Amino acid sequence: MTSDNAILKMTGITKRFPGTLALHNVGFDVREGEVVVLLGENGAGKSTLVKIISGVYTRDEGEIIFNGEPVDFEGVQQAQQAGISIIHQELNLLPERTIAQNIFVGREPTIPWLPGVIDYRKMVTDSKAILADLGVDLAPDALVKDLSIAQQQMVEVVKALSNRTKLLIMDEPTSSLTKREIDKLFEIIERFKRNKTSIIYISHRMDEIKIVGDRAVIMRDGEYIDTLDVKAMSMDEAVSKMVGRTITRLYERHYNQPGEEVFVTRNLTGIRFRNVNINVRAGEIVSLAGLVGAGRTEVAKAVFGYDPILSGSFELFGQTIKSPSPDRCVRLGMAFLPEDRKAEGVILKMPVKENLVSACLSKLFPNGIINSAIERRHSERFRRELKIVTPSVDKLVGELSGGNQQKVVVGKWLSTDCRFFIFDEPTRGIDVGAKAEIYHLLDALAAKGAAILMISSELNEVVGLSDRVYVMREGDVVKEFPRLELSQEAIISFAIAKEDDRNA
Amino acid sequence: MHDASIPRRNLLFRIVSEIPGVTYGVVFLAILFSIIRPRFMSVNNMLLIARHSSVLLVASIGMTMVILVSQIDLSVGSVMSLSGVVAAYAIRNGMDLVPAMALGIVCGLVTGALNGVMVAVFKFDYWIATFGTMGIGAGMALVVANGETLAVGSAGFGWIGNGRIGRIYILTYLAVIFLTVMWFVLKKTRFGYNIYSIGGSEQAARLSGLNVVRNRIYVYMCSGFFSAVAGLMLASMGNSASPIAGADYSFDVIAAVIIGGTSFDGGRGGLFGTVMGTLLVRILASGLNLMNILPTWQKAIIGIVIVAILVADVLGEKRKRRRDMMRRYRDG
Amino acid sequence: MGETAPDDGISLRVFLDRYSRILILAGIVVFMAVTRPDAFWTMSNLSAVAFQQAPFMILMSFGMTLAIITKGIDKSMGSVLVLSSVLGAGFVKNGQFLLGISLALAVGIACGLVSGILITRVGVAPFIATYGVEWVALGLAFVYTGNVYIYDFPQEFREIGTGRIFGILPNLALVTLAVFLVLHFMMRKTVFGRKVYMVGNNFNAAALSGVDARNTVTIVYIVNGLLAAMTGILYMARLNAADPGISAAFTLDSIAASLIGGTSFGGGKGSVAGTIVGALIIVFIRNGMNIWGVHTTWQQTAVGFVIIFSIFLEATTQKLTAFAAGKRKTGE
Repeated sequence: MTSDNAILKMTGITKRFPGTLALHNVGFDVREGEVVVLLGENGAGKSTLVKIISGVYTRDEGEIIFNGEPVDFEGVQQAQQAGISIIHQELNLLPERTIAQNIFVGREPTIPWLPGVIDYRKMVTDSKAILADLGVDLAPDALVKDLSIAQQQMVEVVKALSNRTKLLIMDEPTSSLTKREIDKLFEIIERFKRNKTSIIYISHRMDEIKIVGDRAVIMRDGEYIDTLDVKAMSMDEAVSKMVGRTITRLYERHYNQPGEEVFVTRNLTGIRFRNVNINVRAGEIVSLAGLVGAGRTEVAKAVFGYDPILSGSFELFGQTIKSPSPDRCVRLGMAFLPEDRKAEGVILKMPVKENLVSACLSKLFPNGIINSAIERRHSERFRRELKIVTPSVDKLVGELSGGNQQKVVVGKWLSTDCRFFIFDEPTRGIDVGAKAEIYHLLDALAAKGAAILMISSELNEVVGLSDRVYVMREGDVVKEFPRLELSQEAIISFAIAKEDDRNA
Repeated sequence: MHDASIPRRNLLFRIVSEIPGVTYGVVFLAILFSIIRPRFMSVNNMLLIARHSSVLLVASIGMTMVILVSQIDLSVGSVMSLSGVVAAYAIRNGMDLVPAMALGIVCGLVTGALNGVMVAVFKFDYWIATFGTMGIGAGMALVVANGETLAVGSAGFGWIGNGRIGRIYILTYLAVIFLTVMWFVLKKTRFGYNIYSIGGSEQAARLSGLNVVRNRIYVYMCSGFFSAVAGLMLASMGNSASPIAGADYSFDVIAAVIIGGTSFDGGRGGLFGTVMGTLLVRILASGLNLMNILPTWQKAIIGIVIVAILVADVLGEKRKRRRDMMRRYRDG
Repeated sequence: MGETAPDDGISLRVFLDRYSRILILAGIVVFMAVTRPDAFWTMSNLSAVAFQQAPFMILMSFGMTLAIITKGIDKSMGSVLVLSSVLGAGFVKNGQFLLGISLALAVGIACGLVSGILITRVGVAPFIATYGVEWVALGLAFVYTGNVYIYDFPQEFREIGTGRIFGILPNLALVTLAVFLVLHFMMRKTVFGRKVYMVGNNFNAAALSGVDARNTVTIVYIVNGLLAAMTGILYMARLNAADPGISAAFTLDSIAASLIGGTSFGGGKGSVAGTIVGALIIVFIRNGMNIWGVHTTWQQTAVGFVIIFSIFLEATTQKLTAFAAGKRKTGE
């Protein structure tokens, strides 16, 4: 485990959050000039660990030795000064400011004889040098809000690289980059390796890991599991260690003859997507696949009347709709399970029972007066049916685990008469056991004749569950796959833009 | 990665595009009023508008900074009353002019620090927290003044409010100096950069290692400071301090800043817009005055205009954001 | 909403949540009763507090509570009260009671509708939107009255405010009780009330559950306008005058009453029952200060402190909750 030229040594790292043990006794080394890939499922503790290394969080127990010295960073700045930079999963840029201003946030150069006064000219020249050095063709005084998402991501990369970095942490840096930009990023990584900079790389794309990685550290449920040599490891080996057991029959589907068309879009165009033509039939599970930011969630939100529809329309149970609203969609029999469960799916500070009846208030209480007995009976029924683990339906939803919260969201919609469901990332952040239950539920719903549109970034669940798949890229539906032609590789190749398409 | 779709913003284009929309409104109103009442354009009237704007301008400096970090300070008006009354009380009880005024400013700094600590450290809702200090400040002003208007009767104090150098009022000079200094601070210094960073994205600022808490406290202290200075300027105009003098100002200040294009979303806008926003309000008042419109009507008209501008602003902002987002996706 | 988690007995949090306000109220009453039985514990003082001062406070605070539960605020209530009562006053004076009262109520509804549309359809922050409505409404009231009192109403009209049912129970108390019962039932037992709590807790989640979130919020502001107009009519009948100068006093007090009554500025939490306790606390503090001969100028300061204190109380309760929840989970 230990090695002499290790730049980072971690032993016994433990972190508790209120109610959960996020990391337990994690330890491994990162050597000089190597790329360590962190592998693990959602919720395995990867992001928490890199946030501790980079000074965003403080650890509760354990020791970190960086560059030969024990360190105890209080805040990002200290870690930065020591030479640790991090590119976070989500974009952290200031849209109203220039590229140069973004690169130097919090460490702007000042005029030597005027303390506190910023030397903007130096910022621009320095940025120009860094950008040119990395081969990124962007003007330092362009405003970030004028850049495309991919260009913004490159700014984020440049921002992290610009100081004397000894350890660079990248948390899913390629999630919205095009193929060409990913290649550019890999070039940069190679260069950094040659300059003895170490990299911790988090990604879910196995093909990338093979290209850039030296060693793979596998984590599961907040614990260190194993270290593998990337070149020698097999995919199956890595996955079974990540999951902890070989999973049989995670996906079980009872395919049946689809019924009539329940949902059809006609040239639907909105913010971030255009001319979308898709359809879902009764008894089908249809997936929208694509990269983050390809416009999948936006289609769903526009259909549900949450974001505006700019042109086009859709048909729901035979009714043509041009300007939907959530309450109208629910009345027509449509349910939407949003991606961000805690922010949009449930109301954390309200009890389980109130959440379970929240989508069918007017159905349960047609005269407008709430009958507590009916509310309790109704919610107890769904608690039993979905096996929601809670001591009582009076518990606040915020006190349940992620998987059980998701079951509350599902239960909320099952209790309506809805026959068309949109699931946006239905298994994000929940453990494998709960995942299997959710998959089972989806299958059961479809078997009962419901139409389901699923949006998912986990390709294995897309392939495992869908009757058909539409692939979206940069706002367009670029491909429709029938079930028999489905494979993860085929979906990815359409989801990632090809070089020639960039100029088209 | 070179992309022709990024607007190549040359200097002229950038300057024009960064002029807040309200500037055109100011020009339009000025032309309109000078056609209706030629007297509007007279030098004397201009000097009067500049003098009347100066108190509002200084008070708006702090609010601009607070709104830039996407928060608000409702205690501005109360601090104005309080600082004026405290300074007046001190002078009447034999204190010298300068220490008395310093005492007034200390009141502002303390209130600002209190707001900052509640909002930044304890994470209290800024509407309610500053509303509470607003109540306390207004109450303290009444207590100190015993509910009456305090005549100051200090020649020096009166000179600040009514004296001129050349033809221009001292108050105008003060406003110009404070504005210039703070414009420089916001645009060119690290503190200013930090304000724009925190307003643009608090998370990005924190992850870049900025001390968000400390900067927020400073911002509220600035707001307290400038409110206190504005309160002293207001009191000096009549050489007397009323405990309710600042009460009407909070709304004017917020309105001036937002009309000037500084957005509640934070990180966008600046002092130039605030100056324009203030001028718009003052020109409107002056023009209506010259047109012999009753004061009660003036108040209602100005209120309606302000609300209309705010509504137009929010709507325009929505449309612009949607357009930006669409453009980015078409090009991306 | 209230009946949460009966499974683990009454925890400290629930205890604090439910009873701390009543304890404070009891503390104030006991303190006054013991120290100044001569002035406080008399029939005339208590009935003046309970039947003359408290009802107006309570009615206005109800509206504020509803607004704060939706995560908003309604700063315009005081001036809506003024505008609706002065507009209705003319007809009332001519003996056209029904017309006058209807007009006042219609004005209240219209003002609420404007606030609601500004907030939910245009997207203006509630504080700014209602601030604007406050300005305009007050401006119009001044324009209409020309800044003079309208007074001396027919005896039959004044009966509304001063009369007693069966010669015992004052009308004011009765109306307040009726409004309380209606609102309490509405918030606790109706689908609409449930929607208000959902929207306040999490607007997006409520909207995505098919709740017509924007209409729900708009209706709340309309109810507020209606409450303000109703209070205006009662106030006018009680005082025998419509006075455009009284608007500001109510806003600060009613926010304080709502917050100290347990309504959370974070939205989605609070009750009209708690607000009665909160309003009584404010009224008794003011009454106590009067009895002790504290100058009226101190009262606003005190109310400001009450607001700040109630945020601290809220924050402490939340911390205890988080602490207790963490302990319970890791302890399993």
